[in-house]
Amino acid sequence: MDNNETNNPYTQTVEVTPQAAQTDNAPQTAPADITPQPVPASELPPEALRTLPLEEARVPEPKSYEKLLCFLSLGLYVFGPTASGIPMYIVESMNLQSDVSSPIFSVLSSFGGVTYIAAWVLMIIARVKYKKSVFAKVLMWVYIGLLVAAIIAVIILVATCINALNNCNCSGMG
Amino acid sequence: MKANILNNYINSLHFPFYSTIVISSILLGVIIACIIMYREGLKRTSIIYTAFLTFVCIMVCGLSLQIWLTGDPRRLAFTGAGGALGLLIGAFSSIFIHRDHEKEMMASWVVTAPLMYGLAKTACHISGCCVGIPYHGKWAVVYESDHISRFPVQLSESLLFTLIFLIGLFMLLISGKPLLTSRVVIVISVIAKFSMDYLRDGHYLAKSPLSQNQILALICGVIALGLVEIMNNILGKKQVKGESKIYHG
Repeated sequence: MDNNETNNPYTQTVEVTPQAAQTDNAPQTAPADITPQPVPASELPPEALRTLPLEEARVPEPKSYEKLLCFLSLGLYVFGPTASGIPMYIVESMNLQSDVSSPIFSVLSSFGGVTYIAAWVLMIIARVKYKKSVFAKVLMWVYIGLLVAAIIAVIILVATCINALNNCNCSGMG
Repeated sequence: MKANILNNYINSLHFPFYSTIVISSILLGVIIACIIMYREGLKRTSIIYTAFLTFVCIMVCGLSLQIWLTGDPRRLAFTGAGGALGLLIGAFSSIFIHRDHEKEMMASWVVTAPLMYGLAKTACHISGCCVGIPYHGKWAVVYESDHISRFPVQLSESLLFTLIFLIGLFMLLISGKPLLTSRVVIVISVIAKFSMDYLRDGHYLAKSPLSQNQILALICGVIALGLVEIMNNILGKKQVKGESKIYHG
């Protein structure tokens, strides 16, 4: 028991003289075992990292999915409408019976719609997660430009139809 | 022969206005949803991305469902149920992408949906699709295509759904309870759509208790309520987790 107490650094008694206690050179009572161990920079919270020197604050960057998201979005944007539009055109030109062609058109149109929406969703995720990504920004403006062009095309088509109908002398149309 | 809407005679010439009115109605609805979201305190970037995604989803789903139902891509038209489904997909995806005022974002789109539908119905009235049952009373309309006096069901739907939008908007702004507002607007809209379908000629001719439109309205309503509840549960769990962390931490 006595041996343990003498070996235990927490129970070691140090004689302190009144003079020594008043001065700054007082003997250290804290044991060497509980001194804080150095923590690797990767385990430190971000608040602590800001106070560290630059060399110590270097943490391995998380893997970026920016390019993967953008390429996937672009692929779906191009592949979806193409993969549904071309077969639709072929089926239509074959003049199949409506019982045969209707399910094909239904599946193809749904596929085209889902891939188009997925392309938009992936582009927006890329824009939100990687704000400084130039690729995602370019994709966004391309998609918006094509969307606006499609709307303008529909409006022009409608205006052309109205004009054509107004100029038509057929009975019941004038 | 010119069209004279005031005399309730609708000429076939007005058909090309259909797509313009539908696109304009959706765009107006998107703008109003953006204003509501801005007022509810959402970030500007969240609003812009949500607006684009939801607009795209509405257009794509509205057109795709029409092709799915008719099986004919040449009959290009827009289905209200598809538009509603697209709106839900767009809004719900945006909620999980941005994680910014989720309940308010959902409520903004749910409240605006009846306005988009109501305004788009004026296109049906002018073009002569989705016509009402034969009717000879006040406000009856006659289309050039068949010369039958009909009930103006499209205009009635326009007025009813605009009223539902106003009720939802005032409820959201005054009560400040986005989830309750979403639930109320969904239930009222489904009931309105289901009831008004009995005044449509398609339902009248089919002579079946439930039409395709009514089934689609019920499916959309169930999906919408399900999504609102899922969102509420996810957000509730997230809040409880956050609170317990603070309490123990």
